Amino acid sequence: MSGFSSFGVFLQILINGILFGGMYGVAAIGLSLIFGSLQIIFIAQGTMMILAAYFTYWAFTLTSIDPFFCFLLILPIFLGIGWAFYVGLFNKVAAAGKNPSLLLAFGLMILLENLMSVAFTPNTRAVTTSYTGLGLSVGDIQISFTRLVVFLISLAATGMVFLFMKKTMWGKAVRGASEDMRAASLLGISPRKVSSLTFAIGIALAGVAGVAVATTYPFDPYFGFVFSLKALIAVAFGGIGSVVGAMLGGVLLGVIESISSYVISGGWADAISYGAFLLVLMFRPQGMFGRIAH
Amino acid sequence: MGKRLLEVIGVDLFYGDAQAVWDVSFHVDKELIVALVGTNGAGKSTLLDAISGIIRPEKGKILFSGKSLANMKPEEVVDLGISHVPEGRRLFSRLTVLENLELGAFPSRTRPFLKESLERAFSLFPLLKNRIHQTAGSLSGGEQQMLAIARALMARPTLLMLDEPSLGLAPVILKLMFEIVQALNREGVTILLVEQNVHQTLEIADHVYVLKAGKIELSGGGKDLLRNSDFQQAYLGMKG
Ligand SMILES: Nc1ncnc2c1ncn2[C@@H]1O[C@H](COP(=O)(O)OP(=O)(O)O)[C@@H](O)[C@H]1O
Ligand SMILES: [Mg+2]
Repeated sequence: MSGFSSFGVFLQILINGILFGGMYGVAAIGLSLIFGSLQIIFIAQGTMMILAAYFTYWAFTLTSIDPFFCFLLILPIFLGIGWAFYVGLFNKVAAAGKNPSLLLAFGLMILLENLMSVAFTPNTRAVTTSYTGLGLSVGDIQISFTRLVVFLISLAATGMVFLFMKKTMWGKAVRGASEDMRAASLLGISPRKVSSLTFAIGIALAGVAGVAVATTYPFDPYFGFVFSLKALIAVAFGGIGSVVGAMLGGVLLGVIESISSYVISGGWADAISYGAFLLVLMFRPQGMFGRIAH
Repeated sequence: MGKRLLEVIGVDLFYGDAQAVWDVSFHVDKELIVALVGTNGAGKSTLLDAISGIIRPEKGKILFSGKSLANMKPEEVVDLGISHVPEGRRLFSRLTVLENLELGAFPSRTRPFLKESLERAFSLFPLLKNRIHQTAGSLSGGEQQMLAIARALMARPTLLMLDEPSLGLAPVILKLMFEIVQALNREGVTILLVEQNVHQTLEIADHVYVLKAGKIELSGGGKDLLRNSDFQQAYLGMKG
């Protein structure tokens, strides 16, 4: 650990990375779910996060709704948006193959970016609450209160999705359909229903990750694309189709970024995470964590 | 409606511009084993797909208990009581044996009977009981075929359509497979069996349709065809 001045510093960097990575993880679970149903990378995932971040920002700025309370509003709204996206848009083009879906997702990203930019100006925004600066100290380690809460909410969201997938009939249907949609339909599972459900959950998770962004990070309308890439890297780390894997992949990515930006410099963090991404794709395309959960 | 369970009447089926099935008619009466045999590419799977609503006839009708299946989606067809075990089994290989079976009972009509249906599946296929928490992908070929059939039965079908269930099975398992089909039939399940294993199929089928290049070429009782010399020459590799 020659790069760290002390073990305490190392631990601090590690914790920062883990807390930050939880946000990537949640976005990645959504990306992975949507991939399972449409077989495309939903490139607008990050932009949906930013939309949720703006929602949080305006709710807080205009009506002083607490960002953490905002979760409860965003969840149903984003479930609804996800459902509407599938039923209104993707259901219609999915039959024509993957490319139209991919183009549609790309178009959606550009459209949302520009709409947000027109409606909210391209200025950088940040949500600053009374507790934003609050920190907990454990020894010489500082833990940001908001980041900790955001992380715990991310874990809770992951746990809920995991249980849904494992324990409920619809969750099992989502997993089955992601393997073989036609076989699923022969068992009575409606492709339209199962895909709209998957999409709704995937977008709701973007909403959760968006609240996380809003409370811990300054953002602007164009900030989403980078998050889509990061979520994609986290999915690759975790292995497509695995809820727990995507979360672990996100955390791993957070840690890699946090360590490399401390040891080398901030500019290198992205280069190193993209490098790790390529290595994983080349040597362990099934992901780093195998198929712990699905 | 009487004893007629399934009627396929003058059906034309296409993939894009390519016609795969020409003016095919056949029927399946209640509680029988009816077989569709024919060489690779004859159109057997295409016909089952049409019954299941995966592809739609350009011409002709398909009736189940007298009710037209036109415009029905696959998920609606299974809810009427037609279960289709597709070619190649198409199990959910990353899901466990139990999860595959549970999804078999997905239609709301059958969900209340989940427990009963599971017990029935395990009594028919005791091998599966010891494997419930294994992934379907980890099973042997024979076990996978058993699971595919067990999964289809979870929907409590009146008509079970099996697409080449003997494909790739070792001879001992193959024999067991045909015995299971007969046992199910004795329990009252009507069977539409697609096979290339012509000999065994003829032994157990009440009625057989021979499909060639998308058309019905010949039909008759299973035992009768076994004795028919044209048929023997063409399909059983026997000199007349
Ligand atoms: N998905 C498909 N697209 C185009 N042609 C197909 C497709 N599936 C089958 N066919 C064609 O339809 C014909 C019948 O095929 P199929 O029903 O699979 O035969 P069988 O099950 O009797 O072996 C064949 O000529 C085959 O090449
Ligand atoms: Mg076939």
